[in-house]
Amino acid sequence: MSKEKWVEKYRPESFEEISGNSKAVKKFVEWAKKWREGTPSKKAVRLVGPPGVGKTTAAYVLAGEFGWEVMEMNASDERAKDIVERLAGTASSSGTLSMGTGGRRLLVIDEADNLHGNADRGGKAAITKIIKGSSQPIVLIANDEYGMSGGMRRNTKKIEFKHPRQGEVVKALQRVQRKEGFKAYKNALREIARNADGDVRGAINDLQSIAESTLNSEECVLSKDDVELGDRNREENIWKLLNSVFRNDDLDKLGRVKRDLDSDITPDDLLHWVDSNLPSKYSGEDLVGPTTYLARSSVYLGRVATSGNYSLWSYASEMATFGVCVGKPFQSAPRYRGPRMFSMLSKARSVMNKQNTLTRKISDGYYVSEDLAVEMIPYLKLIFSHNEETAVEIAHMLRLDEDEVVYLGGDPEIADKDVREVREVDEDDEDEAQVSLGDF
Amino acid sequence: MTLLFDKYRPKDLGEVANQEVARGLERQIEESGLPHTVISGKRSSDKIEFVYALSRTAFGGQFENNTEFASVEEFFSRTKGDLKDDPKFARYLREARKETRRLYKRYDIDKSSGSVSKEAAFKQYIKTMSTNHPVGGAEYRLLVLFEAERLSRNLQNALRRIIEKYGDNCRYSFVVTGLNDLIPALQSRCLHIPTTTKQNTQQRIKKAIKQEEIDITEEATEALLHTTNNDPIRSFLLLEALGSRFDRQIQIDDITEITKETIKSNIPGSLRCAVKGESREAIKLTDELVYDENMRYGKLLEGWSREIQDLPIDDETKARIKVMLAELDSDLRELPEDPNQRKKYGRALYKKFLSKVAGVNE
Repeated sequence: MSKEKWVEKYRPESFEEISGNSKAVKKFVEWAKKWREGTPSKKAVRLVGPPGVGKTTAAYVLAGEFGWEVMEMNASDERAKDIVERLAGTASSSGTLSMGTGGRRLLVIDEADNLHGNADRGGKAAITKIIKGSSQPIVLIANDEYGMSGGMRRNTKKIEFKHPRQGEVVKALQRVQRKEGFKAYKNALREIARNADGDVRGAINDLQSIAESTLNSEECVLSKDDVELGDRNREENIWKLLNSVFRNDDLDKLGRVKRDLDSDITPDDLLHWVDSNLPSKYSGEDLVGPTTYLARSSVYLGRVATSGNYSLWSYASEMATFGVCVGKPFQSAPRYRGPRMFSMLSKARSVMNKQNTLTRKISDGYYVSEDLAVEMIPYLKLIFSHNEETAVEIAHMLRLDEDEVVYLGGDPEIADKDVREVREVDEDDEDEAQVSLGDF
Repeated sequence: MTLLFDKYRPKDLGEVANQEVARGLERQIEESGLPHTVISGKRSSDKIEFVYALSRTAFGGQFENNTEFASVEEFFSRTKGDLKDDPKFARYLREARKETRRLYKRYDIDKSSGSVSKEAAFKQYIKTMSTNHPVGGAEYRLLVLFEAERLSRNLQNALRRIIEKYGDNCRYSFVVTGLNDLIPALQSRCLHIPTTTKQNTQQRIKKAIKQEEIDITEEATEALLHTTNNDPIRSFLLLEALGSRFDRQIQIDDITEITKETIKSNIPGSLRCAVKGESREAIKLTDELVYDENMRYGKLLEGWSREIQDLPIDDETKARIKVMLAELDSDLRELPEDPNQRKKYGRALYKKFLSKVAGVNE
């Protein structure tokens, strides 16, 4: 197999070969067509989207289809003010040599969101100026739209590229695979596409590295088992970490695993992962060691939240891992599971929401604090389940609705009764009012 | 007026226990109007009843319209998001923001007002309540702040000015557990009223039993007052629950049976489990209290602290557990005030406490 990169080798040559993004491509072509009739109002477009979805490719394909000459500037070139002006300025304002004044020259400014630092000083302003004065089409390409200056954004037309669907990525992989002439199961390609998460370039790179390392002869077929992609999966890593915490005493190894994981997981989550996986064999005195470190970690997380000083995070995460590793009484392998804290919190919130309206009604009705109202609830429950007469009166007085009556263990009918009674009283009042009006 | 405690509430200052103070207050209300007051007393003493009586004496039948009962704890224990969703408080957050914007404009500061703090919103709330007009011929309103000890120093200092500014229109009543929870400057502006409980509750309960013709033995009455610690409202509630549950004469055993359902037995239960060395069970029980029943850590710790006295262990161990509890309390105080965050980080802390307690006895 050749040493050339497949991404470059099989770069799409027509719009059909670009994965997904048909809408964006259509917009792009429409803009280019306008150039045939003269200079359109927006002389430049900006292609915005995540990496590896075909922005640069689209620009090159366009130039190919329209027969335009391409001039590219990317981050590897220096883009200080003078250079930009000299290079792009002359290129964009005059016609081409080969095709005379009718020909177009497409100026592609790649990584337009990365114009900063000393080397690129003044570059943004220079580019804005060129866009304004240009007589040639210009394409700006960026991942982050807001990395560009306001002037650049105002003077360009936005075309957004999105992640193609997994099926589209698989199609692109199949195209490469067919051209390269090796066999592969579709589920292997699908696995690669899934892992790449919409990044076509990344997927093709992955495919190349896997294919080159596993396929030794012509008959080999790439299967799903061959697809072993780097430790991108966070779940898998957390198991490794928990293993090093609870099963080993090797702090060096733990440190390595933790470093791999640091960018994926906040100390906050880490605390709850370790906390809810404390082996059930630890109990009584044995729990003191690990929980002491976890408690310290918790306090530091609390300090982070109150002070906003995130440098304390490192202490919190170290205490949750190294501390527990050192403080554990003996090695034990628990059956790992995800943290329960978040379901517990949401449960607490739902209870609170249910109680809140009720306690507010009680506290308003009886002039007590809400704190006391919470304590009154069990008594009210007793009264509601045994003494319906009083229950009706209470429900009436506090204007409890059906849900609240049920929560107190009463018959939902009570709430209905209450409403009906009120309605009857209202109607009576109205009758009287009418009578008195008649009298006048 | 359906619940007994509401029915037998003191209707005016003439009925409250602390007669000397009450008579003086009555005279003062008649001659020069209601003073600003600090009402102090331990948990479950007569504070609420006293404020209620005070308001009724000052405004008569109009007391509902002229009195605003506000709980400081309730306001500050909620997140700003919750407050924004609550129609009652959303307004004050908005107004506080407007106020900041106005101030910035006045002093020519070029800055967006951004989001306002809970404190600013609470200040706005108090200001609005203070400027409301009294109704029904009253000359002033009354603003009652429950759990005023939760007011931060900053806020208390702000209140000094507010009290002076709006004092003609609105009188303030601070309900606190200890007088020293308020800054001296506020104390000096208010009349201090300590409340007591014991005899008052006993009198009222006995009166209610007589008038309602509830069939209860003498011993059972004593037991009832003992279980509720002479707390008036809880005593009445318990009495009412008993009355609705049993048609026959109420005995001591009935009380023990019913208290199991009403008073949360998990608080002492969790600590007892820990002392026995069953830390996992203890943690489970505490989890239930905190996450299923939304108990605040303050109350949990208070319950534990009371329970330590009755534990079947020697005094030295008791002292050691107390020290651990103090440690837990100070750790919990370092957590952010937001209740959700407290729940998120607090678990590791009480786990440590319970496992330490379990370890101490082994």
